[in-house]
Amino acid sequence: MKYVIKKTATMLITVLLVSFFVFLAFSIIPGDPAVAKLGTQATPEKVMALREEMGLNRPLLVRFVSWIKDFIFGDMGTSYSYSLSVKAMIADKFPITITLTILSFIFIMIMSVPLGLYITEHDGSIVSKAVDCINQVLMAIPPFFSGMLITYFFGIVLRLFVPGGFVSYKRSFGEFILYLIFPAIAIALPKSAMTIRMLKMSILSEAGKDYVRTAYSRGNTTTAVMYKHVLKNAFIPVITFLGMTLSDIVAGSLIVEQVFSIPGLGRLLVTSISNRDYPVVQAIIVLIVVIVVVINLLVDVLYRVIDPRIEDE
Amino acid sequence: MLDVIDLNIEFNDHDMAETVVYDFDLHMEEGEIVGLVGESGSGKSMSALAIAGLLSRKDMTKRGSILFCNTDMLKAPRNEIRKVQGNDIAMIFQEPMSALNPLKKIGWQVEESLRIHKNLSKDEMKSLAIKMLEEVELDDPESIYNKYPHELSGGMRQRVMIASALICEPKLLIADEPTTALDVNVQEQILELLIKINKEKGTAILFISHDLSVVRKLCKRVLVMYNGRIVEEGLTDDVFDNPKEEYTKTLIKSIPTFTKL
Repeated sequence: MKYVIKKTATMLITVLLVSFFVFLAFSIIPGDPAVAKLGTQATPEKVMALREEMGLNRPLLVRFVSWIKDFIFGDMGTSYSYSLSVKAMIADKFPITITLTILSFIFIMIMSVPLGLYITEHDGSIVSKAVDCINQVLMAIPPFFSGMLITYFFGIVLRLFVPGGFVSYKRSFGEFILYLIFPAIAIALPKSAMTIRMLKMSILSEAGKDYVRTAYSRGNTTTAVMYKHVLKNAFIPVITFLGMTLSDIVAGSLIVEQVFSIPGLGRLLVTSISNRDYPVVQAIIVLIVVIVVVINLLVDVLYRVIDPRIEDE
Repeated sequence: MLDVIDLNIEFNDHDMAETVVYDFDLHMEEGEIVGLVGESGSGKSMSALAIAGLLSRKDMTKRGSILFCNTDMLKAPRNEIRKVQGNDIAMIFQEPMSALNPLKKIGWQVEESLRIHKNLSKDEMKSLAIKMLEEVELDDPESIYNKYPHELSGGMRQRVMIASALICEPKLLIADEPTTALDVNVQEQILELLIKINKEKGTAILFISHDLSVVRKLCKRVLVMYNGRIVEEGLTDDVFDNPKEEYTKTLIKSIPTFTKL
């Protein structure tokens, strides 16, 4: 109970701090949203009037407190450039990005866990060496580049999907998923390569431990030793890594959305930054912070479920 | 019961093959306690692991035979060796801290050999495990049954290891330096426990140690190993009172005594 309270407090403080810094950053960087909205031809009087109307002339701290208060009550403000509710804009894009993230994570799990187990059990075989070698290459290729390669081979050469095409989840969820498969693979490839390597190293280091010898001395088969003893222990460091990966692919999907022209949060974020549409930018960043913090919390809880050695300190 | 004849163990992981055990011979009767002494690297643990069927590294060659109740622990297929492991031959190790799986409850680990070798219901296994925890003189076995290894002290964990080794009532218990990592007073208790188990259940014990005083207390017969060879063997008292080999003499001289202080 004490743990839950402590953890929630840390989470709230983290989100609050990051929001403040985001707010601060956008007040410091050059560029006036009022000018951006009115255009460079606007008279100074008009700009002044609009700044007053947008509340930009109030002190920074006052603006921050009023913004965060509205945010907590579910009002994310109004977009400067589209005069739409930020909440509605994000609500429209959020499912796209989150689906892409989840899909990528599923691919990482599907690719890395069985393959990692296989090459560890057949360590030293040709297949295992080949996977190690390919892993090395995949780890070095960033998702936006593998995204371009995938678009070229599967989109232009093999014509498996239409590059730049997209179907909204509102129209057909099935087709929507189909268009997300290739971007998800682009995100998942380097991460899977890393996870495979992590898993292999972790299993091999666990396999040399004393409790494994004890397990053999009781008459366990190699398979039973692996699945009943080694695996759970070996997964502890891998879970930390997967937690970090999950936070990372939220950010990674923002970039890959650009490559595959997917109208998700990433697209919205980039356009909003160039339009100085701060309410939208701030809301998206805070949303991502919340997601990352929640993922960290889940990893922490998962740890406690798996490892009895971690207790309330 | 156990007949080890001409056991040779050789490592091939370097350019030159390296023999770690030469012509090891050992005969053990049921219910006997035999000591195997020698310094670190003398090959005593290697021999013990071979007897328990736990040497399966690809980079070593093993010759000779280890006959245990009609099973050759060197050459028999793994399936047959597995039927002996944990059932007829059980082993306890030097490090009780790391020899137990940190993520599994004590009860689960004590019952493991039963799950593998016997066909019992959950309740039967639990009552046997708790009885066993009682026999190794652990207080409150019911609560220990549901604890994790990190919640117990080193001495308690070694008792748990002994309980898990003896749950199938094996004919032979191989104890590889089981007291080395423990406090002196806990050492004493564990030794007494092993003697009690040997008397009550008739379990034969192959006791491996570099601590001669401990071996003298526990074993009627002793083998001295040096550089991979058995250099001397006989009744413990004879070997200690009239050592024939130079190495045994220096070993015995190195035992600290109170008169020297």
